Amino acid sequence: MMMMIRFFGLSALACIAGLASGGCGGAALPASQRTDAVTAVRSAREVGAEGTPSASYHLALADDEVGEAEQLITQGRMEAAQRVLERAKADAELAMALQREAQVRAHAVETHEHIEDQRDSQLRTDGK
Amino acid sequence: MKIDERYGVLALAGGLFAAASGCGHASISPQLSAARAVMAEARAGSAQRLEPDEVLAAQRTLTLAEGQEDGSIQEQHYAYVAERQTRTAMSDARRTLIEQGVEADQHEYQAELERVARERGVALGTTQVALADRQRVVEQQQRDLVATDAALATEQQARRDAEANAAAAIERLRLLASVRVEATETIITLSGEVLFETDQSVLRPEARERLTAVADAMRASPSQLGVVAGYTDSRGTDAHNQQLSQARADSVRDFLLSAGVPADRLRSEGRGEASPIASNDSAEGRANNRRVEIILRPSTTTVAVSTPSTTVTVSQ
Repeated sequence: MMMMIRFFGLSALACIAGLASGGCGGAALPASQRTDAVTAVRSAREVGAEGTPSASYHLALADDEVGEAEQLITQGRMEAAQRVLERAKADAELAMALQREAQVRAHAVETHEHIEDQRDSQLRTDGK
Repeated sequence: MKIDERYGVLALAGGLFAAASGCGHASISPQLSAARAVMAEARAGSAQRLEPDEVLAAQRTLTLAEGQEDGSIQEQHYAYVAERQTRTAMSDARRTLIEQGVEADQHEYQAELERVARERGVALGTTQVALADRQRVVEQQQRDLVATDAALATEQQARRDAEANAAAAIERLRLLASVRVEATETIITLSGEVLFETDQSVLRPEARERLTAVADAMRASPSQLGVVAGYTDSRGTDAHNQQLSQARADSVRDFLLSAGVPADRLRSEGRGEASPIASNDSAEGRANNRRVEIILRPSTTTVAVSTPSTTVTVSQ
């Protein structure tokens, strides 16, 4: 049985599991999983993840994964949809983290420049 | 091709390869390898220290992946999620580090500002003290200047008053004697006939009025020195005339001293028949030559006794 899984992958496993339970696609997808993934994607977008290349990349992956999960749900392939949604959530959270990191980094640069400007100004004032 | 399907195809290809090669088991998925590598990086870096909960969650997912069958869809799935979770923890850790660095920079700069403010405060305080000292000096100088101005004004007024008094005294004296005012001296000439009896050096009573007026004029000009010079006409011997003129000058000087003129401002000289102001050939000329002159000059000017124009004339 395990060899069969290895050969045919997750889809085959899902179908087998589904057949065993009376239908391909397995158990119903918990509503919270889809909500978690979609919420994570929306949060990443809200923090501006589309504006930073690395964050934007993972946000796009998450978007694609949510779309794919929608298709899998339509097809009744709930276990596959569940996994794809978990990956979408992980990608969206990574996108959000990368975007926040980029924002903090930019803020740090601005702060540093501001401090240096102030120091220069201070030196000019002291020199007078 | 969908993501799950890609995993399926990969698994299927791996299985076929294993069967063809005679190998009885598949190798782990590339996702698991990548997840392990990222986890090792996270544990070696700051994520383990700064985001331990996130790293722990990622580790659990990785452990779940490792518990799946090698190369399986589940292994790939959990490894994928573990790798993302680990990278998220690492990103969060980097962000925390940056925030800590910014905070440290701001604290350092704030401390620097406070130090500069303290130094400036000290410098400002020193400057203010010096300025206050300078201000006090200036104020004292201003007060001194005002006092000096007032004293000068008082002195000037006193001088003007004295000059006015002296001028008034001289004007009064003009009624009783001949007064000649020149550039550096005032010469009061009194006729000898008015002051003395013939060939005498004792003052006549009526001479006192005139000499009192002279004394008033001299007291009104306290800065002036006086010389009383006695003259005779040319009759008689020189020695007698010299003695007589000296005695008459002394009598006038003594009277002026008794009338309040300070002794250090006054001296007397007998000049005999020298420096006649008229001819001794006529009675009128000789009468003019018999005289006492009182020469007044400012104390800063040396009294030249022999100067012809410095005379109070008193008749012999």
